[in-house]
Amino acid sequence: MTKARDLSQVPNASLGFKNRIINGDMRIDQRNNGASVSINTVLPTYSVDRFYGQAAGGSGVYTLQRSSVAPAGFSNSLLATVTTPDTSLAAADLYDISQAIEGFNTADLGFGTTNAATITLSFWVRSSVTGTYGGSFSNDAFNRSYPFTYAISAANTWEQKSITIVGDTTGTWAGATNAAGLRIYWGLGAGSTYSGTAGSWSSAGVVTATGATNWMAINGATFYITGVQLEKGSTATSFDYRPYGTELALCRRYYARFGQNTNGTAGDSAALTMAQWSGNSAYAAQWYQVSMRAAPSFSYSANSDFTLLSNGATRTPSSIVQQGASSDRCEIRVDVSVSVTGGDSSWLRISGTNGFMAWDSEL
Amino acid sequence: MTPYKLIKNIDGSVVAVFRQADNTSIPFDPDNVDFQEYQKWISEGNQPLPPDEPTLS
Repeated sequence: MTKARDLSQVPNASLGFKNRIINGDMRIDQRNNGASVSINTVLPTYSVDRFYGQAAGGSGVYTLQRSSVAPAGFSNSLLATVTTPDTSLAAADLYDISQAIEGFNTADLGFGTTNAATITLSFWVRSSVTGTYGGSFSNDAFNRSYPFTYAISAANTWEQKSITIVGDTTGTWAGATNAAGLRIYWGLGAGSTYSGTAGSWSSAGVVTATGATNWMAINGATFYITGVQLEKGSTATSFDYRPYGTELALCRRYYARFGQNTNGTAGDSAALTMAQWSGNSAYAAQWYQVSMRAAPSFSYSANSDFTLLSNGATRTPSSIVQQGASSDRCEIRVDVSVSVTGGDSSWLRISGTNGFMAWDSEL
Repeated sequence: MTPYKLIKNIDGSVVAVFRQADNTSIPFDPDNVDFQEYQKWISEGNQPLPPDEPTLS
């Protein structure tokens, strides 16, 4: 066999960035570091990096958190647990887990054109509730959807699922932009408004398939998922294990968080080197470690978690704001109420155990 | 409480908005989802608080 023939037998999808899902093995959890978050709003609430939950319409609540329960070959999963059940779904009730994939990472799939590619989603799943589950692929405008189903036949048992669908040849899709090129939903319970017939594209915004199990009906029900992979082609191939540093950098295009002990160091942690523009305001230029998807929002824990040091004195900020942000840098302004000498240099420490600074440009 | 307060740069330009509930500075970038939420809030007839003036004291 010649080398040319060897290469010809390698599936195209197995080379390069074959898995379009980021953090599909749920290792990275910058926001919560394994802590649980409640999902009780339609606005995306993030658990592990890149995966978010939504809840709308009904009174049901569930939690998401990184778990160390995982099938062979994985160290982590994303665990959902019902904390307030919704036993009777109204039409507009909605509970799901989702990831949005940036258009730059889906443009080659050609959705919205006659060249739309077939894609395959695979994942490991385990639930305390057996039944037929649903999910959906959708565009960012949420007016094109492809619902799908999969069966969980044994309770509390890991099963690998594979869903292959033909690409959408119509509709409006993001293409090679920083908008969401594709959203994938795993339905946990949804009423008729957000459910659709499995197995074909339609001009509707739905997150699951009609008739899917209402997992949200059972208080304490659990649902684990990991090893999520979306690839071009009609075959689910082995999971694309990427180096931890690579995966972390991919995540930081959408969210980056630095706490007191981000890198394992104890005690006061360096945050920024600053200059005093005036007695009450210090400025620093901040370059992000990875260029972000868009100019990010900047948030921080609390003023009391930070200390501004200058000329032999320490001060607690009265506010910390970001201004002049782009996708690769920003200015940070730290205000203090007790004046420092203008023109002095200063530096900012994260002095509170739970202190953090974060930049968010999620989809 | 008004949820948003404008942020002014040292040259006097309003360059971002501060969401007071969670100490979040939001840039005026139409691709930023927090800014999209802010725009929706403005379209409902709301107004943010004015910015603090940069100090030179």
